[in-house]
Amino acid sequence: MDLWLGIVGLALALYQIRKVERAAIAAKAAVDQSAHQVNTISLLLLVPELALIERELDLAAQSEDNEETRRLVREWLHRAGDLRGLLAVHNPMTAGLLEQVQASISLASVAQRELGKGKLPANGTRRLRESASEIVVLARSESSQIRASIEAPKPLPTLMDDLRGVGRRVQKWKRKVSSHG
Amino acid sequence: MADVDNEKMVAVVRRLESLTRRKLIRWTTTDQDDTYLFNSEASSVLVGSTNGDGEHPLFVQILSPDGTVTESLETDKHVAEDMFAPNWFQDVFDLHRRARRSATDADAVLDALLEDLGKLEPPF
Repeated sequence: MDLWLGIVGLALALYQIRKVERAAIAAKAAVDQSAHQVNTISLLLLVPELALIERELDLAAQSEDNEETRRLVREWLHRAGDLRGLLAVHNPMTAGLLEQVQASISLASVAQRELGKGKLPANGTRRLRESASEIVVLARSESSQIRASIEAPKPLPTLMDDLRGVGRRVQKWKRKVSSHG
Repeated sequence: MADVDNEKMVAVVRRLESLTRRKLIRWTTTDQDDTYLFNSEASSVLVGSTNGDGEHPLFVQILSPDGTVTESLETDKHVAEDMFAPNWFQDVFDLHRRARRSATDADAVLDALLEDLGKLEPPF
């Protein structure tokens, strides 16, 4: 009788330890998943914003609106910087895009200087606009892939799963005890 | 000879020239006339002629990831004409020439031209 009580007590203790361990793992996974989701959502929100800036920049440059073009070049510089930051920590599959974004930041910096020196907007932003257009196409494609790759969270184990686990452990102990006895 | 501050920059210029000559890196055009960009993961480099004419003064600028100039090297037109001009003036000149060829794909254009000219030769 004492032996069975001991076995049941040990099984319960093991169950409690396992439960606490699983809760800690689940909590860490939830934090990781939340950080990843915030990053992903920021990335997905940034893509339409970049597309809008790219379109407006094209229109402003073609209509030779110097002031608006300069504002949009600054805006591109900031948003592309945000995108670079997100891509750097987000996903290795976006490495090619990251390099293009870095180039567009440098091109924006040059365009800003040229506009400041009085170069006409259409001519002073030609390479930047080409680069921005390529980035928008690439970023849209990457964001579609990211959307498709987002997995549904795994359900937490139910009470029945826990009880089955306890049952399996008790059986294992019983086998061990009988083989030694 | 480059002063101590310029030594690292000159080393960067020589390394870039060597990599460009061996076609291991590629340059692209920018919105500044006769100025070319090389982009690495950590930073970017611009090489160009200040007046957009391919002649001295020439400059090399290192840009940080956010696009600001962190380091630069510039040749002087009058010093460049002097026979005692520092060696690194020639290094910057060579890098600029190589970067232009890379950015404008000059080799591909020349290869295509040579092929076309070859077709015009009589077959004997």
